[in-house]
Amino acid sequence: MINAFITAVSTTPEYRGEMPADLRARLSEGLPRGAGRRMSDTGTAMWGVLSAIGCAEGDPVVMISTYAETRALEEFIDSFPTPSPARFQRSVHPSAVQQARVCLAAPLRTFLPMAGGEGAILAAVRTALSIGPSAILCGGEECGTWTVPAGAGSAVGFSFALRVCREEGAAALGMLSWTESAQSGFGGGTLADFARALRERTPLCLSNPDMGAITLSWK
Amino acid sequence: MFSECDITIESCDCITPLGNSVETWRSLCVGRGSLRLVPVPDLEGCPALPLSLFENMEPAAPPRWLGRLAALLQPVSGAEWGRVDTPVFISSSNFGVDCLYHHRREGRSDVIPYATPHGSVEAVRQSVGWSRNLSLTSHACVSAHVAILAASAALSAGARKALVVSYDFVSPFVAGGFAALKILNGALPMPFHAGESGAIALGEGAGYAVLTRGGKGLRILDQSLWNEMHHFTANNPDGSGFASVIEPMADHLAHRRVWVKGHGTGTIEAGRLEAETLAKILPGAPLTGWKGAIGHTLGSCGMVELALACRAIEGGRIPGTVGSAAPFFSGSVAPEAFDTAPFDTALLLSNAFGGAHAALALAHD
Repeated sequence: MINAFITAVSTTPEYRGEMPADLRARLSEGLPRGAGRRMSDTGTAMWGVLSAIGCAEGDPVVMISTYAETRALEEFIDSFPTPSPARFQRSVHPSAVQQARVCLAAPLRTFLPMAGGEGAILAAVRTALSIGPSAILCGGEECGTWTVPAGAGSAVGFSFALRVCREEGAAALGMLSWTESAQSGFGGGTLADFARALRERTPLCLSNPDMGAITLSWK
Repeated sequence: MFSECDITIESCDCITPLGNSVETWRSLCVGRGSLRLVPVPDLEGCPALPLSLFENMEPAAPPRWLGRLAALLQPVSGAEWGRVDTPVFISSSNFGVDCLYHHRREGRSDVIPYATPHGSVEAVRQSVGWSRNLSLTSHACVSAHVAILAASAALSAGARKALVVSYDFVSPFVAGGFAALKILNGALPMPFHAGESGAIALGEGAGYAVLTRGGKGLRILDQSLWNEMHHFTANNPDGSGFASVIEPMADHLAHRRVWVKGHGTGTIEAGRLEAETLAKILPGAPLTGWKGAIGHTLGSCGMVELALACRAIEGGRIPGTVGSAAPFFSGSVAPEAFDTAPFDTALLLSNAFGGAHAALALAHD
């Protein structure tokens, strides 16, 4: 079992379609002038949530997304037969975190971008808790258009970031744990379930017989 | 950077269009590659591109590569993999994005189940019978290194063994992307060659490695990552990224007799920065690169080239920088195959978009 204390959390609201202008404006605060115009929804959102919790060069960062750069993927594919280099760059996972860091030329030492559907959040939490004494776990989705009916894109947009530390501090907001024993009565859950629990500060247990279980609790 | 637990490679293998890891290693040792100039459908005004392919890029459901990948993974198939103490880490830069491309461009709905990362991996899981403890990593061309690091963290957290798998296959999607960036331009790659213009080639490949704690096999001495975040597709021109990834490994590399398998795609600026930086911080360490023979196998390159390095170590002969020629960016570049006997450590490097760097040191003393 690995226990870690949550010392900072930032989330965006869920949204459908393109990111609402007021949300984009709020999340873009502090961005270098002109940078926001070139950023995707997930890039902007990742800037917002990472800035809110603070992210330094030495923080190990684990990023998780099921569909990653949905809009950029769609736009790049639609640019054929004259593919766009800018859209190609933005379509490559993990472009969202890269957009949020490249605009400040802010390096990261250890960056582990992950993906996946069922079980992905369990895998990401286990990785974040085992990569070192503290880490940042971030993730999210942006809304797709033509990929959504095909089941290859997200119908809802959201982002989150949290900082976890193995040592308890006075500022602990809650606890995130991983155990190798599965918990009966709980399912694997989705990334959106996890983001919602962070946003609403509700407890959550996700479990998979082959992956163990994660438990999120709040003070 | 991540050497908290004693990790060894119990077994590994790969496939390229030249064959399995032994066959590919033997071909590289005699300077033989698999690159061909291939016209890519759907790219307006694009010349034939240098690619190393298993077969043509026709869409298929299930994907054309699935049977070939399942055959590679036969030694690590079965439900004992993917349990809580035997996690599987799967990496790719593309997973099934070729299927998404063909769905949109040709209206094919039969390819949709394979179009997402999890859909692509589920097809692999079913074909080899793994259980469900699967972690997917994707970080462009350092994807395999990220998977190895995540697997190492799982081992340090108590896993008994970890299986790391990496695969990438070429499609118009990825060929079009690199062609749009003008670095896949019809010329053959010459890694570390001090010319006036550069070019890369793309290749197909897959590989796996079984990692254990303290077992028998080649020992992972250290691993490191560094993400410059200087520019999306360019390195910091001062070359600091190439040094920063190795910096935390200095203690482990001190007093070791090192040879280096560089990233070496064939682009001019990155090739110069990599060769010059390595010559400065690891003087005397020969530098080789294999993408001039098998192309850049994208997210799988770290795993494919790790398996080839393991065969080189076992066979006592390290392939040279196939496909390239003098003048080179540094005197460290080895154009021809050389013996392993004077060395006890392989330093394996990969780079990716965002100025991502990955390094893995493999002890073979």
